[in-house]
Amino acid sequence: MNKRKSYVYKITGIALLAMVITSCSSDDDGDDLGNWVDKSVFDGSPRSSMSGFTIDNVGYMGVGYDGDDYLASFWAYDIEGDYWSQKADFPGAARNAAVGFEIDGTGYIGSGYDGVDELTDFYSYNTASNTWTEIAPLTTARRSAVGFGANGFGYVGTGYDGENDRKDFWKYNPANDSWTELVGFGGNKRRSATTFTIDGLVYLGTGVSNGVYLDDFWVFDPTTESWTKKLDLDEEDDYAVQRSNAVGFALNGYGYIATGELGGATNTVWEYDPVSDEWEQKTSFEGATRQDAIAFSNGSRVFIGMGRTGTLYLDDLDEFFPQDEYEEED
Amino acid sequence: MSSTIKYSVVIVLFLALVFGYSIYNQSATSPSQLFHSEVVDLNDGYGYQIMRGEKVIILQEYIPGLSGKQKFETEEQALKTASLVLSKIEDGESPMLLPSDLVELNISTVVDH
Repeated sequence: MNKRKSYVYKITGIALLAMVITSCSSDDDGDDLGNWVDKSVFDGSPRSSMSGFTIDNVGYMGVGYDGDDYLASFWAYDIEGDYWSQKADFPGAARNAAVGFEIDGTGYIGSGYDGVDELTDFYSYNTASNTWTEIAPLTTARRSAVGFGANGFGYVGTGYDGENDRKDFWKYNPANDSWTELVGFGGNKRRSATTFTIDGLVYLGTGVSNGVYLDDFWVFDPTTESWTKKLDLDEEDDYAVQRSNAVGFALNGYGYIATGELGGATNTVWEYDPVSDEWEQKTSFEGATRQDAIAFSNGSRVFIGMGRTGTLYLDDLDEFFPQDEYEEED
Repeated sequence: MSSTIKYSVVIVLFLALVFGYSIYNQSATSPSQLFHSEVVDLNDGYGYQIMRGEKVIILQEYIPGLSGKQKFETEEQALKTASLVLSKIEDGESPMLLPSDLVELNISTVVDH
């Protein structure tokens, strides 16, 4: 009888211990700061390689590829209201791997890949009227380029033209609707690189060419249109920033490179401090590992989602709080 | 013997409580997760919103996909468009409305304002 009783106690004890251990396990990997909060509503709307821009408190994003079709639909996410609206369809050929950026309150999407060809055509989006207007095309077709708006101009560079990776940069002037070549980028040719902008300075890094993940890191000053080399992405032994098909964004004076591809999809996140020129690892993206995701930020809040892992196309969206402790249950 | 039985009864009661609570919790949260749609009267036309419980997840003041700010001309048009989007979401499909959907819903005629 006593034996049986102690047996019951033992079983219960082990069960309780197991419960305690599992409930504590999330604290064990909490070495890196940063929390992720699920904001998904788009279950069933997977797409990767979307393009977009953020204007005021609205994240605009569209085009992309869902594994079957190249897409033309275009969406707006209201950051304050936490809801979506489907806006005017992108007027060019449905595509992925295009670039998107903002210049003085107007959005731009162009270049990319329609499943057959790399593309040159470009369009501007007026948020007030919900209308698209075709603008002057890029001189050279490409996909997987980088694009950013700075100081009243748009810049597009690097990428893949269908035969070669590229290192050339082009500057768009909305005042006279024209592109001119911008010389002076000292980095190698590449595709699927990433940028982020802190205090008006544009940082460029990552990307891949001929199977090599590039380790150089650059800053572009739009006022002087000059490029300066920063410390390499593998400067410290414990850095693992190199990758392609990542997303880049800035928040509260820091830059971030998150998710991407490195011989397979990854969900790691690195934070760049422009003052010290150093990188620090943050809590990895909470959802599935992914590449070709999209990130949008209004400067104080940032959201990351969509993308793909292998041939599985993803439909979720998370808000990132880089300075918070990680919580599993949100 | 009797203390073992007592102990077992306490454990069984505890498990029953936990199980019961999880069932109760589920039935309490699932209606609030249901998708539904509402037509929005915009005075000079109609829009719709897709809700999940009390929360708006899609607000459509203009006809999705169309250029400009074209509202639905009738409540019925907004309602049947919202119903199509809702059925896509419930089927686990993308909530995006294609130009072909608008043609099928006879809404493409609203163009040119």
